[in-house]
Amino acid sequence: MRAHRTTAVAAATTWALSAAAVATALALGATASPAAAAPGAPCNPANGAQCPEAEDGRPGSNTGGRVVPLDIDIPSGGPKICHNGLIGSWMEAPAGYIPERPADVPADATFWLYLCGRVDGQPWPSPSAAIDDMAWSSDGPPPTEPSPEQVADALWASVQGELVLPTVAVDPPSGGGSVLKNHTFVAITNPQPATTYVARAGDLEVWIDVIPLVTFHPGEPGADAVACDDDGTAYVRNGPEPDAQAGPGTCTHLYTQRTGFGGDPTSWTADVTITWNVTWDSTEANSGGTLAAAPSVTTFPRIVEEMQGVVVNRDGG
Amino acid sequence: MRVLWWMAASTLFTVACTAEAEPSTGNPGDDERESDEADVTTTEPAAPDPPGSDVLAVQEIVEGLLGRYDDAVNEFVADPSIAEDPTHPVVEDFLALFEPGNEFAQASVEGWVAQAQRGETLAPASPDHPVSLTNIEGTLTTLGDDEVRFAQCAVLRYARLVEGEERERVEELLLPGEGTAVRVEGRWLLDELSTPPGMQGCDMGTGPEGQG
Repeated sequence: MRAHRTTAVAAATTWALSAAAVATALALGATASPAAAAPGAPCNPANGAQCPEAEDGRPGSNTGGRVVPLDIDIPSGGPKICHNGLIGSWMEAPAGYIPERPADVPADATFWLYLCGRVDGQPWPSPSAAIDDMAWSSDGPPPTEPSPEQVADALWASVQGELVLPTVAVDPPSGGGSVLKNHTFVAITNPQPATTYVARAGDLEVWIDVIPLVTFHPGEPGADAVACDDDGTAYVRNGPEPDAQAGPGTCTHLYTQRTGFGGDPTSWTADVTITWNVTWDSTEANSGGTLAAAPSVTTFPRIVEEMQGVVVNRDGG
Repeated sequence: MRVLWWMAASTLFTVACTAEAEPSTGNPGDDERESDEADVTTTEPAAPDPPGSDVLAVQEIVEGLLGRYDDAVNEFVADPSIAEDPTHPVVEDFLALFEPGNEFAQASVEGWVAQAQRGETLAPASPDHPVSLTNIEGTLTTLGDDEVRFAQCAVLRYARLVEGEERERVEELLLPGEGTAVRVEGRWLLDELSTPPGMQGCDMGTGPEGQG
């Protein structure tokens, strides 16, 4: 910001601020901030669970209501950027050009003008044209609020630490291996449900929706990927028969090819993959987007054996 | 005033006597030990709630459930941290309005936990009206003996505070929506309440009992 201060100050001193010019600038409004919904406000503030899923990704809506606020280091806004892309400078408004102080502004606050130069370096045709922003501040030049993108970046850095590898429990266990043409059950012992992570910076609220897609790849040639729930499917030992437990929609696979036979590897390499669908949004209009996240993959070997049976002759021999 | 007649009706089928058996005063092995006969407490099973086809009766029951729902909601929004304690009476009262495991109930509690973590509370905007009041609009629709659907209107009047500081004040917000109730083991319970986004204004207009 300071690097361009000379230009901004020069711009300011080349013209005399007239009361009318300042009034015009004030009439044009301070930093345009489109009206946004109250930060984090669901459609029913008394019970957000009454709100159906919204397409614009309100907190807790796209992810079924699981909202996790995260404490993050809110980035400073850095140098304030003029609307024309240059960096300007804050200047205390001269006496006589200060508007009436609103009731909610402390009595010791000072009124500041953010002055920007022209991209072509020429002087502005009128004083008000140099005013890019204005604000009250009790502690020196108004701090630059972080942009939604800056908060989203900081929040995303924190959220990525929440996305962990799936921990897999397989039945039959890995040591025992799978049995040919018997169902193998895959459970995920650390399920990670769809979650909205939220961070606040003043009146700005930014949220990131993380929706996981869990897939089990059995590893044997030609096997289709299996779509699984967040926690997969655990085999219930005293429950119904395996065939009954391994119905449609379960995280199971029926291996049909032996391993370690006829040149095949000693085990198939199976995996559980969580693909993360990540979007972000904020209370500021025209913000938001998608975020790229590498899938979380846990691999495990599957030995597939043929169950050995004993054939008994009629005479018991 | 909602008539909780169903609660009164259920007590007609409950007969209870209280008694305490006095401890034996005789020595062990004493054949002349005296003992009072303990009074027998009998409780007749309460009659099941009327089926969904009995619209008027079920509507009164559902109105009673909504009254208890509002009581709990208003407790939660005033102090959402109570939602973090599954044994809190308000949490138990709220969950008792729904079938165990009901997703809407669970999502509601999780929402209030999140609200507590944000430091956010709602306070009544005026002393004569709670934050939230829910009413059935019109008559409910029978979906079966054990399920009904109804239009509902939530009247909200609140001030939203974050860390004790007022951030906004809403003098009146009318949110129309729908609700369903189910009869489980003979008892009507709430199933879900929903508020479509972007809609405001209810047919009933000014809220309960003509209050504006």
